[in-house]
Amino acid sequence: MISPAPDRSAAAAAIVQPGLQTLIRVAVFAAVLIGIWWLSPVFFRPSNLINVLVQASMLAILALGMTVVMIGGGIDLSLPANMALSGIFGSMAMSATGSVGLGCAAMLVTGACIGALNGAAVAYLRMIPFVVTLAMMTMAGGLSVWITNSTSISNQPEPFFTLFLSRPLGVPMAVLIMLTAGLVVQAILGLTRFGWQVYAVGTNPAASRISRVPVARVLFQTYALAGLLAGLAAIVVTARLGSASANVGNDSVILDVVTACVIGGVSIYGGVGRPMAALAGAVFVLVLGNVLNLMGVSFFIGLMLKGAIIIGLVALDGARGRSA
Amino acid sequence: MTVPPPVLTMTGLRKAYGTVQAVSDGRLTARAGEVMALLGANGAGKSTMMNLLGGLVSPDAGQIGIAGQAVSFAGPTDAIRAGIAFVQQELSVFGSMTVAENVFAGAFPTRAGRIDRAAMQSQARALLAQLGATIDVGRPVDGLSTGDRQMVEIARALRARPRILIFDEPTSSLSGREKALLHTAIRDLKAQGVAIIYISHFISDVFDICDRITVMRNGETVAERLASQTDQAEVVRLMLGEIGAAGRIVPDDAVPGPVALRVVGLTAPPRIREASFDLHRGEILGIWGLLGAGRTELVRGLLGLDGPVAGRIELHGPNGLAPVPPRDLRAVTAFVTEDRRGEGLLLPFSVSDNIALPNLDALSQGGVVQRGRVRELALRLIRTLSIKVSGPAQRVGTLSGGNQQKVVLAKWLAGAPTILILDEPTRGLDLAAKDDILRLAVDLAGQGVAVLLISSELEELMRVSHRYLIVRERCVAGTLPGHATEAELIAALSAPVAVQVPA
Repeated sequence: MISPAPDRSAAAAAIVQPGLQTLIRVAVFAAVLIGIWWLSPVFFRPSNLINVLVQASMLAILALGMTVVMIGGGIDLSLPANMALSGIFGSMAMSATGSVGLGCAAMLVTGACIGALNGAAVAYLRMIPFVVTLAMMTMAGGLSVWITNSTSISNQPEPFFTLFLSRPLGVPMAVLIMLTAGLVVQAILGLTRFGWQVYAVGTNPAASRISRVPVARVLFQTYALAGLLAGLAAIVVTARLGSASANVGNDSVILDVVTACVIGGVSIYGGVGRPMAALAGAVFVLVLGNVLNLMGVSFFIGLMLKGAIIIGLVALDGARGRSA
Repeated sequence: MTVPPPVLTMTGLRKAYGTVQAVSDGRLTARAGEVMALLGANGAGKSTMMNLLGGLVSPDAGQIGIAGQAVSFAGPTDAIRAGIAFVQQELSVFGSMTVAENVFAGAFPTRAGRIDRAAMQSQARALLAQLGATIDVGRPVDGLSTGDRQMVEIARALRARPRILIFDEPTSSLSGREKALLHTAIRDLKAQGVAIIYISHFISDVFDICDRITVMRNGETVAERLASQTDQAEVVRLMLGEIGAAGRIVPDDAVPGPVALRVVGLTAPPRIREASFDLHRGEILGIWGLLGAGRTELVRGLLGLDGPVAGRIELHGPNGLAPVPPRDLRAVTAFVTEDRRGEGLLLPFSVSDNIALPNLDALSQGGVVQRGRVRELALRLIRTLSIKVSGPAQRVGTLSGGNQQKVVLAKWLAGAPTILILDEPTRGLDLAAKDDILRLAVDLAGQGVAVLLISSELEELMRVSHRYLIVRERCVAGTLPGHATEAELIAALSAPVAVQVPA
């Protein structure tokens, strides 16, 4: 008997979210904003809002990468560890040569290479994404601690900070990079042949293969692209923190990345999601953290809350898969 | 020879799933010490009958009697208790566990709350000996041959000392020697007084091992014969039933064009054995064989979809026929799979996105998909194939089966394929939609496309085929010309030779 593929809503291009899902998300977001306003009206000062976006930039860029992988039907748990290692390599290159360009290139290349390793294992060796990227997370994390001796590298050349902490037209560079990356990824997924193929592979790999989609190559490229974005996140976070260290990729970051994606409506079952929505999800995760902070709630309760949000939204996503 | 009373009688059984009447008048009997074959084409109702017998579903009407007592099963456990056991088609063994553990999986003998390994091993050895098999019961199943795994599977079924043992497609993955061993084991069980029900698509196997044959068609039991009083041809005829006078859509004597595709010695055991044939431009070559004969395996193997295959595939190119890898064949072939919803379409995607997917190269410029062209192409094909949709943006999952199938065809037609492979293209469609799809295939052949058509419905095949490729027991047995009669085609399924071998 033929088992019909889960009939999930949202087509590749005409990305239409079912009304209820969107409604729930908007309602929750509105509730949180009202809560903030009540707790701390200062929050809505433009300077503070910009500040929130700067803080969110690293998470948002990682979430963009995760979105690409998740739409293709996979997951990449190594993104934060990849970012940390890329930041370290790039900073070492930068302090050794004094070249900002070379350092940034090193970060991007390192990120893309680690992503490509994940992609090759998943796409060509047909290994399970969860296991491969978990192992990669451990390896990258271990390497980061080992080569830095658990210390921070903070002797990047001054022009690096000048460039990435600049505020063209009053907007911080990190925010510009985040928004540009979001729009570019959205365009890649929505407008290009590669993007269409990612949605197709994530929706039904068997049917995609019959339809001449180079399934393995597409999967490989999703991981490589996500890795490249981890390298970009490394640039942003190194500039903001003024140093590179193994700790920026700590374990709670991956939870935030996944939370941002599911809040943004990216399906863990593949084939559904929008990069800009995931970016908004990242901002929401950060705002939520700020609110809890303002309320004096423990960091650990925050973790529990984020976990609960993931479970709740994934349950919704599953229900959507079954009912449609 | 005196006929023993039946140990199992199933009479007047009816079972519907929703609006589909799977079984409308199911009857069969099984006797101790006898092998009874249950035969039927796809959808005849065999599986439902076995599900009823196994207590997996309950009948809407009718009776099941075991040794003269009417029984009703609330679930599989009741059926097992009544002495019914199945040897599954899928070899469902636990690879890393030992033979003895597999035999006793789910019912380990215990002593003082611990598994009694000694008892388990000696009992497993005894059960296997009953089958004439000598397998080291301490070995992990992973290292065993397919035939030995099957023995383990049978030993497991024997553990509960069943009175009735059902074999569902037991030989489909066995080699000739393993099959012979299996049949010896079945004869031993028969001699021990077990009633055996044997389900197989391999008719020669049935005649090799079975005493009696029950044939089902369209949910009804249509015949019961002693194997000694019938032959393969009659059984095939009973399975397929009367075939309506075929109104041919195309004349059967079209002059074939040059060879578009030559297949030589395509082999991928156990799915395909030594298949060789030619496919000409402008012809519809009907692949005729029973379900399980290897029709789908043949075309999928050709396209390299199920792993590597041996043999040679030659494709007509600018320099005449040249050998190509399956991947190159895929690039010029439109493949309408038998699994429309699972493999043919992306159900959550729109009609236009589905049509665009295999044609993205042509629809993109510098890697960017040209939406205007996608829409234009979709509108053109919707018009050409008269697909009933509200517009190109309608989700494919919401269309009727016939229109879905047209979308599958549409997505391939855009690329002007030179070869079209249709695997059960009309399954589940209404009559008008069936006709539409067949006419499309005929039109394409008229334009010079080489068409391979698989259909379980002989009537359908006879309406459009210019030539028939006979597929039997995983190999190509030969070809028949387009004017072959129904009787000749049916005979070709069972006859040992009697068909032309391609030059």
